[in-house]
Amino acid sequence: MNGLVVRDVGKSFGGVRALEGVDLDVAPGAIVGLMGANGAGKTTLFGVIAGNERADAGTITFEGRRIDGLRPDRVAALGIARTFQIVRPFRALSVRDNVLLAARFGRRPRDDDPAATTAAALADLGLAEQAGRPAGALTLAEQKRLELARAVATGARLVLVDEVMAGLNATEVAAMLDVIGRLHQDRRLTLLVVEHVMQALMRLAQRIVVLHQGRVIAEGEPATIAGDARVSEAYLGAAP
Amino acid sequence: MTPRAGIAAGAALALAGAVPWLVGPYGLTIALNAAMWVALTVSWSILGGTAAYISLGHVAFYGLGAYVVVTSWQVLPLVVAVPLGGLVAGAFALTIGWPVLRVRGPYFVILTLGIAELVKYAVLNVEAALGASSRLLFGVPDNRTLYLATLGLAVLAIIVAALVRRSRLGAGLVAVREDEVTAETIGVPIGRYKVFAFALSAVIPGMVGGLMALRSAYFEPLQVFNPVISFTIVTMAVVGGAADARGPILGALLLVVVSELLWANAPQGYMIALGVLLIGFVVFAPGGITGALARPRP
Ligand SMILES: Nc1ncnc2c1ncn2[C@@H]1O[C@H](COP(=O)(O)OP(=O)(O)O)[C@@H](O)[C@H]1O
Ligand SMILES: [Mg+2]
Repeated sequence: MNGLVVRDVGKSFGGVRALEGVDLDVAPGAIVGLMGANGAGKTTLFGVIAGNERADAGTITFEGRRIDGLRPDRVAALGIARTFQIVRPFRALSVRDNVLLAARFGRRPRDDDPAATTAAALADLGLAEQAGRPAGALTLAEQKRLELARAVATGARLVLVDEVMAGLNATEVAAMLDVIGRLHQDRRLTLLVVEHVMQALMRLAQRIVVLHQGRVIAEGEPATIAGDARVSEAYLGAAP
Repeated sequence: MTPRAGIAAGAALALAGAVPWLVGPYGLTIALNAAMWVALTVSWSILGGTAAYISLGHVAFYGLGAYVVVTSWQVLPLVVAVPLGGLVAGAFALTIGWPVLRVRGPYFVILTLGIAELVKYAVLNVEAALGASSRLLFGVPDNRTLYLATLGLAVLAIIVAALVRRSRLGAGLVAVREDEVTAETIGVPIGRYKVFAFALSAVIPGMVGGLMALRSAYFEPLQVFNPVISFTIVTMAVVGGAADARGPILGALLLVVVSELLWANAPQGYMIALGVLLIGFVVFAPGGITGALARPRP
């Protein structure tokens, strides 16, 4: 059981090199933060791990099994879930049905009580009161939580969390941090978390990996990363 | 199903089964039309009503089934030939399904229409080469037999479609309709599900085509590959509202009545009426009648 191991992964879109020689390790039970300016390749890396995108180079293993090149549903079956930075709810379906679908599919062997899994995920993400509403009618903050509820309900052991705090106000960010912390503890989830809000990531993650123009330029404990000159340069350099 | 709905369905079925003894020859023709369109439209909805992949090529399955029955006429008994027609239609759907179901939206609509036309001309050419463009069939069954068999297929289609909607397959297909990327990311095997549903939605139309080829003793290939059949299926599903299990049944029955009135009073108006209904519903009530009833506008 060696969690997620990404080795030498590359991915180009036409002429754009979104990822190049990326190495990344996420130990079972860890929370690893993934940082980087806009366009650094964070979402692409999630897509490549989850099977939505196919890597041009490199290997990805999860719990000892090669997963690069697998279809998304096969990756989900092995216990990896992701959220979408640009939310993708099943808009016309109720919040409950959104989560129930994830519980009925997701990891194999299949959940024998998807209704209970759904109720628990809705409760954990504070969405129980919204369960009957169409997902399209939720606020953005609620839709971000729905992304997480759905990911969790698949029964995944590793959840890739893509900027669920972006666009939220300070109170909502604090609440979301709490929620993610509890998901990690209570469900023993392994988390790879992309976040722009640097302080949030510092509080959450035990280790942080920094991407810049598709390459890993730094990794280590939050305190080390905060003082790293290359990191501030990459961030400031990318700032308008 | 609630007990009341169960009783209502049982009564409707008993009544439908008694139709040949209750009405005259003209009434029986209409009943046969109704059973045929219900069977076709409900089958179509197995994919079209769940995943909203709008096939405009279902006549290909109908025509293939008809061909199997006609070419094996007086060789194979009907109880073998008709199911064989369904199997051939299903196998054809399975074969074209993998590539065809990779495109969606309007591209899928156009592609299925094109494939059906391709099949039609392929068959016509083979027939022309063999010098057998039309056939006379001796000893076709009477309308009462055809009606009861078609009614059986309509009931079978309704049962299969209902089972699919309740199953994990049906849930996955609804997820496909809502957002295909999300669906596969949460673990829905979208390729396999779509192809399987497509094949399933082709089998009964194949059998229906086999039966309908026997409605007259004179068989002509152009008739069983007429794209108007595909247009009619889609219009019936859209008018009734394909997202609801009852929609395709309602739409089919309604349009059978409308078309009877039109054929009697303004035969040229049928295609126009079909087009107007289709466009009208797509623009003003995309959920069809059942959709409009389920969600009244505030
Ligand atoms: N589907 C795509 N087609 C073309 N270019 C893409 C696509 N997805 C991402 N990119 C490009 O790849 C780079 C990395 O993007 P992304 O992974 O979204 O970055 P991040 O999530 O770190 O902001 C960007 O230059 C982006 O424009
Ligand atoms: Mg991103």
